[in-house]
Amino acid sequence: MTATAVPERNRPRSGGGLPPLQLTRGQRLRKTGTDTLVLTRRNFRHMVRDPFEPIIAITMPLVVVLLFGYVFGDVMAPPGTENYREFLVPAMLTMVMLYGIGGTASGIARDTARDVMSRFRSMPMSPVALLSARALADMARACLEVALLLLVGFAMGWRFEDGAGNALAAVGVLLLFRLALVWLGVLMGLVLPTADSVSMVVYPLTFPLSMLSTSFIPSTAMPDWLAPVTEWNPISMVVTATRDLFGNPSLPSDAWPAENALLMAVVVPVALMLLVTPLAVRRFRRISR
Amino acid sequence: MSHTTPAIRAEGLRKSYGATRALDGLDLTVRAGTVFGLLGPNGAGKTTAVRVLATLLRPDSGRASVAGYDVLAQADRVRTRIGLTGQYASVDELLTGRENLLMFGRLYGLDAAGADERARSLLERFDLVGAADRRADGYSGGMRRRLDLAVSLIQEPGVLFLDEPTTGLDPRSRLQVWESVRALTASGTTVLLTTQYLEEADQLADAVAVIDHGRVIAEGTPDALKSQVGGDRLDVVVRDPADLAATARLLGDAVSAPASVHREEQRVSVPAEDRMEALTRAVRALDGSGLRVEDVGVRRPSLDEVFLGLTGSTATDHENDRERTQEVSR
Ligand SMILES: Nc1ncnc2c1ncn2[C@@H]1O[C@H](COP(=O)(O)OP(=O)(O)O)[C@@H](O)[C@H]1O
Ligand SMILES: [Mg+2]
Repeated sequence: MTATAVPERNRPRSGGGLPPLQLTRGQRLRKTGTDTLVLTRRNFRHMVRDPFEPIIAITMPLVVVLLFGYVFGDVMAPPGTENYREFLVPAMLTMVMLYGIGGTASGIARDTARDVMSRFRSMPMSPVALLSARALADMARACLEVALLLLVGFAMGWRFEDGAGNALAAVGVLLLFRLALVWLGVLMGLVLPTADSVSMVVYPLTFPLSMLSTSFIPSTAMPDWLAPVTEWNPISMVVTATRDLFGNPSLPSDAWPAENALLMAVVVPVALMLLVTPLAVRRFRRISR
Repeated sequence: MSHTTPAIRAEGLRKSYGATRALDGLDLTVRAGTVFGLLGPNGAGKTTAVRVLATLLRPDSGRASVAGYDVLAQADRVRTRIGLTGQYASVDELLTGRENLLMFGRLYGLDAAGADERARSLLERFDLVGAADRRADGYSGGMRRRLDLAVSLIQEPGVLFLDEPTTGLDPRSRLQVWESVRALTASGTTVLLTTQYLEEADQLADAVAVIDHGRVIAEGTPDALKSQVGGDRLDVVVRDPADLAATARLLGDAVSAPASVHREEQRVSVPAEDRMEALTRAVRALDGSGLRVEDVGVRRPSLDEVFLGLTGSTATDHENDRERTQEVSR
């Protein structure tokens, strides 16, 4: 046999649209950008074609709020919340932000399963795009969820009472919370072995967490030892800050986190992100090197 | 032969998982434009070797280059020249065949128009046009494999890695994959394929390395390997299984060498150092013996026999393999 084939020969670098072999820094950044968009689009397709998870994530809070607002409302409503349904809408929004974590974690777990990841890594793509695309798609989904639930709230009689600026700030608080949870979800997806194990961890954790907050009942209605847990629960902070900014009824409370809810609703997610993002990136580097 | 750089070169690759030595000093040289078969039983280290060569796994020690680039120091460049189809299909099950090719095309760096064109031609080439717009989770195993193969060819790789490309496929799909691999070499691509199927290496590979416990135990063309283990064989197939023992005795005496009986196939096999002489003696002995013979032939030894000779165990664990190697004493 004769020696053949300089591999160069088979590589139509022009016309075929393939990039040059050596990328400059700028080109590499652009490639990460397009890879992110390509994968974001794929993530949307996944949500549409396998909608079980996003549907659960949005209907659970909806059902809880409808039950509380229309069925148990009379016994549940704390004193001072003459409009209990208006009181519930910020809780519903926060709960939906929280539940999104399941989709983030299982999406990352699926993409980084060994054989899938092997294909991505054997290609001249930017692996970080897997993370940025996940974050982008999930934040876009969060925006959609907020818009949709505000419409539902509107139908339930909810209004923002404190001006459009504050209402936008409330949405900002919710999205900031979601962004922090995206990175927590990324870390969970990298640590948990399979996408299936994600839902086994996420839901049993998130549901009690949202119940042990001031989302539905005041901390004074809790056993004494639970009251501080409830007050310092980040979910309470986000819910209270959102209520305040929307001008919705809020629970009278002299607990420090409740009085500084807006501050805490910014500080806690930012702190969480500062803690979790480097861990996630480091772990991702280890498996994508 | 000119001194072209080999498409793949590995020197002394080692990789351990705890006490398991997955690679134990693996050396390989694969010439450009050839199909190279990495043959070995389950757990031999084939996947580990592919992962190192495809820049996915860092070896504990040793060096390797692919398409002229170092897999450790120049992984980015290696990735612009290789395609990989792993042992388990890794296409996106929720996307259609076409969407898979478009997405991976963009990730390989094609622009939208380029990816579209490439998707079209690959769908055609892998006979997936009819299923192009169906979701991959509805594909058969063979279709999924072909889609996987198509994805790994998007950037027209100089070197293609196929890790057990036909494991778990039905015979018809297997033949289709074989056809695709043969077509590839016609276009100059170097293929490294791993397999547990001796026949597959025999069918496709220009050169074979047999590995066991993470190291190469034999290497060469399939033909060279066969003659390394032993010369030609003379086979006689009898009509009545009851005649097997008598035939074995008769043939053993005729060529003065031990005969082996392959009960399943009703076949008796003896070494045939000189093909013509062995054939003449065998036919003369059989003539007038009263034994009824279906077929007589001289052949090269199978890779199954090669593997047995090299490792002392068969690569495939089929029952008939054990029976086939049963020696009959004279
Ligand atoms: N990630 C891993 N962790 C632990 N052991 C592994 C790992 N990958 C492979 N091995 C071990 O290394 C050996 C070679 O495995 P592998 O390369 O997958 O073999 P093959 O592909 O030839 O079946 C086996 O004994 C296997 O159990
Ligand atoms: Mg393997």
